Amino acid sequence: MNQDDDKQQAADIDPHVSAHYASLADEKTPADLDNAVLREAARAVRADNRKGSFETWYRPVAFGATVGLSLAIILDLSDPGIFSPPADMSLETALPVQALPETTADRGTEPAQLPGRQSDRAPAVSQTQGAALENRTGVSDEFTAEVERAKQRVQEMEAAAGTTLKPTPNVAAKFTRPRPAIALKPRSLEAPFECSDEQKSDVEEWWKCIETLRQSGQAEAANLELENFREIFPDFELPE
Amino acid sequence: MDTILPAVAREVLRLEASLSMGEAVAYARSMSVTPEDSALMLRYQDGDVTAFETLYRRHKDSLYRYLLRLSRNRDTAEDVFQEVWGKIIKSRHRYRPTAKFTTFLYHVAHNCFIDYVRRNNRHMVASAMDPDCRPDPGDEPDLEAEKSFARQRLDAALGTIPDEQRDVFLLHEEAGLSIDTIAQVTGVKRETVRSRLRYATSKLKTALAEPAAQTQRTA
Repeated sequence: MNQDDDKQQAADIDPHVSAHYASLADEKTPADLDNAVLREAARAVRADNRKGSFETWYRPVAFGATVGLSLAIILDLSDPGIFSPPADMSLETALPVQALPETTADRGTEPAQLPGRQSDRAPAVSQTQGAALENRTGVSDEFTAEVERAKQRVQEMEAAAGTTLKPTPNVAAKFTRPRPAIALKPRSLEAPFECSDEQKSDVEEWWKCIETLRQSGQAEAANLELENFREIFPDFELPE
Repeated sequence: MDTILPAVAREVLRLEASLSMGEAVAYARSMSVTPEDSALMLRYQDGDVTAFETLYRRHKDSLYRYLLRLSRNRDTAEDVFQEVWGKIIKSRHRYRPTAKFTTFLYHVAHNCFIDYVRRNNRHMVASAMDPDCRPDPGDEPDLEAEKSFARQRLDAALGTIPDEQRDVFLLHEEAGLSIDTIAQVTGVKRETVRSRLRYATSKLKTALAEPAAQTQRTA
């Protein structure tokens, strides 16, 4: 403050009034008011200390937890797990097909082609695909039980036939749709599927009917008629 | 006003004007013989409650008297007083020693009082202030009674002058603020402060002189 300001201020006030005021204005603050203010000041510092100690540790912990959780999510998503199918799996190979085991009568015959139907023979399930399916479809236990039962049936059949079936390294691969025992030829609409009674009354007519059934591709019907024929005419010499 | 402040304080003020903020803060903190208000406030900012106690005891009475005579109501003065210190405590982390602590303190007090009046929509009506003054043990009972009577006359005289003039007068007498600082605190021009102070002083002088003159006539 410069001297001019001092002079101005001196001119604005009356020193007697100031002195009079200073001599009389000697009030003090009440004690309870002092205590309240000082308590609040101390409480504020305590709150700062508590907040400071909390902040010193909760930020690093929160950061670490966030990083850890993020890494866990990333690692879990990068692992295929059960939610992402393998690249080589397709709908046709995804479904395991269960079928009866092969019989001795089926061996060596070509699969029959029924008229009007495409081959519905399911492709064999490879060992790796089977293992992959076990891991993903959750039916491995059931599938394994079926395999075991099939093995048992094969063993029973072997015992009954007195021979051993050709061992197959991959039992699951053999579980396909059964091949028809006889390759059926396309059936003619005009060909009969059984011999009439008139034909059966004559041995030669009945035999011709049987031949006709066989030539028309109805081997099953022909065999059935042949069996009946042999029962009735056991002495008839069948042509070679 | 410079004669009131100790020499060390004047040096601090001069340095604060010339040094940078960081240097001023460091210098204020280094004052250990007679800690200045800014240094005490900064120490309280760091968590030193005893520094706040020292600061509080240094200014509490003058602030209380300022609010008491400004409001002319004891309850109002106590409410505003507590509110002022509460604000200072809450804003301790934002405190920067860019001005004197006294300027900061009375600026807050002035604003708090205005807000209180607006909030309560209360006209400053004089009530029995009955200030809590402790009688001087050395005073005789007659002297104490005379002092009490004189105080009542002073309060009555202060009640006769307008609120703005009383505010300026009290800021000058209780806080010891300069004209410029009062202008900064009240938000008015310097010349306005000067005129208000001049009028307040003149009216008080007249009001205080009248009973004395009547007393002399009767005697």
